[in-house]
Amino acid sequence: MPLKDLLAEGRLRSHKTSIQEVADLLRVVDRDLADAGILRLSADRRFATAYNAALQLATIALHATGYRCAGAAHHWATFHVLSEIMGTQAQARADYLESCRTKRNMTDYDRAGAISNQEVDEILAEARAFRNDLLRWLTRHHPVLLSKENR
Amino acid sequence: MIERLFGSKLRARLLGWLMTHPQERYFVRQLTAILHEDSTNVSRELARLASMGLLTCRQEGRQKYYQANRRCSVFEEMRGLAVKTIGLGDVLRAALEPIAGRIRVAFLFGSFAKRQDTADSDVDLLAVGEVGSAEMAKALRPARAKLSREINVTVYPPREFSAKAKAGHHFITQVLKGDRIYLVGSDDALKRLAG
Repeated sequence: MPLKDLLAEGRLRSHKTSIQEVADLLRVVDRDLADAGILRLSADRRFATAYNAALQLATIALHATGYRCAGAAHHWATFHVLSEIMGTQAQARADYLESCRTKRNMTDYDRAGAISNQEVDEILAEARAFRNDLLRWLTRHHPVLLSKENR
Repeated sequence: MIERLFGSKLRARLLGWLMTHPQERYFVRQLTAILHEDSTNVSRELARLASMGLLTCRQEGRQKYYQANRRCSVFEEMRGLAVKTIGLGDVLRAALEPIAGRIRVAFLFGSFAKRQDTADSDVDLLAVGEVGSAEMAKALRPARAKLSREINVTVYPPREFSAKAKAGHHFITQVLKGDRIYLVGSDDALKRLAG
């Protein structure tokens, strides 16, 4: 479903972001990337924390493009429009993060212990790579949204 | 769900198989072997489904061949139901085929394996092998779209799975005790991995 259809359905709304909002979300990302690296935590908690870092990165991309999610299923919508916002090369990342969304729902609400250590390593590596890619993308397409510390 | 809808587990299984293999025709013994069901019951259910117009029945020599009836007015709807429920396993097997060589074992567990799925049930899939979850997500993308269901995949490398199974990890223990529908590998392969 294209972004314009999500807008028409009211799942997305116009949004004007700011340097401050992007910097705040990047701090959430950095906190979660650091916490997800704590080996004493359960694999489930590390996975969910790394997932949140990835979700906030996708949210920054959405905000920078001039939109925010509204209503239910905002994780789904955020990943769903990622490739339309960042380019078709982001499709594999969007597919992967969408599959992580269902796993994170499962581990947060239904079932403990269903995350393997390999899955934690994989999502953490993906979230770190996503952070680098997003900063490059912001520098290229929305440089005015980057604070000095993030340039 | 579909079993309750059709009133018979065997009828649902037959429809599930025939509607997801509409290009093939089968005689009773073939379906008996595929579904591991009693031939008398299979024969009776096939005759019923044919009399309803859902299947075609053609006599050739001493054999009667049954096939999904594409001319039936509800063929597409029946096929859709079968793919989403009973035929689910086949859709997932086909999706995993390109990476199946690196998967030791993959199976459905949870509500689908227990036959307690509802229209909203997620598909729970566990795979053990040398594959990553990003690779699994990519492979399963067409199946996810075809089935219109969430697919929860847990991927373990063989060493981690074996170690956790031996240590009595609660999730793995629970999965090993429950019902499973194999997509890749078999019970033997799983038992070898679990030690």
